[in-house]
Amino acid sequence: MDTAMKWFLSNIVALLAATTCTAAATTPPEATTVADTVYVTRVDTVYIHTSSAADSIADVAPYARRLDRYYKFWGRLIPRGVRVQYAGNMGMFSAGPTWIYGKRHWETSLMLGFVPKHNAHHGMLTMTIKQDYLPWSIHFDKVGLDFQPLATGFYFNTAFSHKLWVHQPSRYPKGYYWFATRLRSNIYIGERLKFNIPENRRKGLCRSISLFYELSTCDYYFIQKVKNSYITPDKWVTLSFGIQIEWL
Amino acid sequence: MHHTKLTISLCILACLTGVAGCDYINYHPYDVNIDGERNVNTKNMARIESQCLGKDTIIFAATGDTQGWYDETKDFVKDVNRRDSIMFVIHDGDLTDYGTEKEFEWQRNILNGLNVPYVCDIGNHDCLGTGKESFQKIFGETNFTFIAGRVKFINLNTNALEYDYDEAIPDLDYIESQDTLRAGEFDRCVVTMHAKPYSDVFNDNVAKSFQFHYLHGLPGLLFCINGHDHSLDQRDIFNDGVIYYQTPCIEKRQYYIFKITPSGYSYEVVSF
Repeated sequence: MDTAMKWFLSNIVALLAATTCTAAATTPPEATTVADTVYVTRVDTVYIHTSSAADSIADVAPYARRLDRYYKFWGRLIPRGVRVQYAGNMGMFSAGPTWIYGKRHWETSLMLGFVPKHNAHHGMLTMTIKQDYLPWSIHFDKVGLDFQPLATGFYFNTAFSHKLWVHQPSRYPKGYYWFATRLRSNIYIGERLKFNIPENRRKGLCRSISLFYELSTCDYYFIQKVKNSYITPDKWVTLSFGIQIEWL
Repeated sequence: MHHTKLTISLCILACLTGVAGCDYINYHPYDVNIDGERNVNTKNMARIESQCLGKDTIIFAATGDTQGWYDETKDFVKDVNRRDSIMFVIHDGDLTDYGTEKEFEWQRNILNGLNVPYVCDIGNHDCLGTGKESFQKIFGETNFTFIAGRVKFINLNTNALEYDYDEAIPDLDYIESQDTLRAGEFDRCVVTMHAKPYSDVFNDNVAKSFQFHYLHGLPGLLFCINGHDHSLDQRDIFNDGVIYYQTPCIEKRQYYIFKITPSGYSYEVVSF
């Protein structure tokens, strides 16, 4: 783990556990006792248990294990990247955290975006939840590049506007419109180029920067494409670009 | 170093500005970012008025509910274009399924292929999301009137269900104002709308006063044209001799041709 993250986790646990903390400034050995404080070093974290000097390591272990499980669980939910996307029926610009898992083949991101006012009465804020799948990664060692020839997935977008609804307002007869104007479903395919930053040249948390493009469509346009030869790709396909910064 | 960063930033900005102009970039279906012609109704009404000026016989086509049927709409345009007699076209609403700006543009682009001017009423689907805003920018006001020859065409927004009392739908005062506006220039009236009285989106509470007080108040009311129900129909809804001619959706590949002469009017249903 990154040094900064380790420091963060250690401190959180220390704050939770140490009620009458008399912590020493230096990291103690494997398990030791100083006055009435027991220090247990596990993996990359220091647990501080304060009680009488008579307490043994055996008494501390179950609680430490539970704490360990607790922060490992929340640790898994820490976003491992951040993404900014331009266009794609989700707003002009959208940005938000990305969770990367499953041997880095799967990604989930939650983005907030905005639609400019243009000719409307007002602009809109949007929110998108996006699921990506990247089956392959071609590694170019010499230049520290990863080429991901296929990225595919789907995303759901909602726009915050009083003119749009998920459940149609009660004034309509039941089931009058079959669709929800506030909720759009989209699918996409695209590609990515990932620049890996060597460990000694990393600044901050950043370990790689990816550039991507996507071709997507939303349910509204796809349905019309199926029904009409008039709806050519320039009408139903949308192009978007983005950048993703990864850490962890 | 700073120069490099600035150059890169400017390049990215230039690229984004460049691609933003291309058809493949879309920010949102309900983004009202209009490409191409605007105020189509306003411009076309002026064309109709000047082309029909002094004519005592008026021949026009009526269609509607073209939403999502672009291929059929294109065929309709072709069919109208091969008939020289038609002077203009009335579309009685529902250009779109979802009220998105792109749908309006696609329909406008197809209908712009007509050799004659056309006007569009607003339909209930056209009101969805930001549809009202797109419609008003691309086509114009949702209640509009023009005079062809000596016949006044009053085109009304009757989609009350979509408005939740934001506006008066139908706007009865607007209809009343048409009794006398440009009084010397017309003798008879035709009323067009998307949804007819007693249909699910009309404000049925005012249906009788709409018909008996306001429409009958218009000088020389001939007939009404409506769409919405997707089927071909001619109906004397109020048993008062005023027929509502209902255009079928364009998928049915039928439309009306009306001929108004000094002595009366006739119509035919054309299949294509």
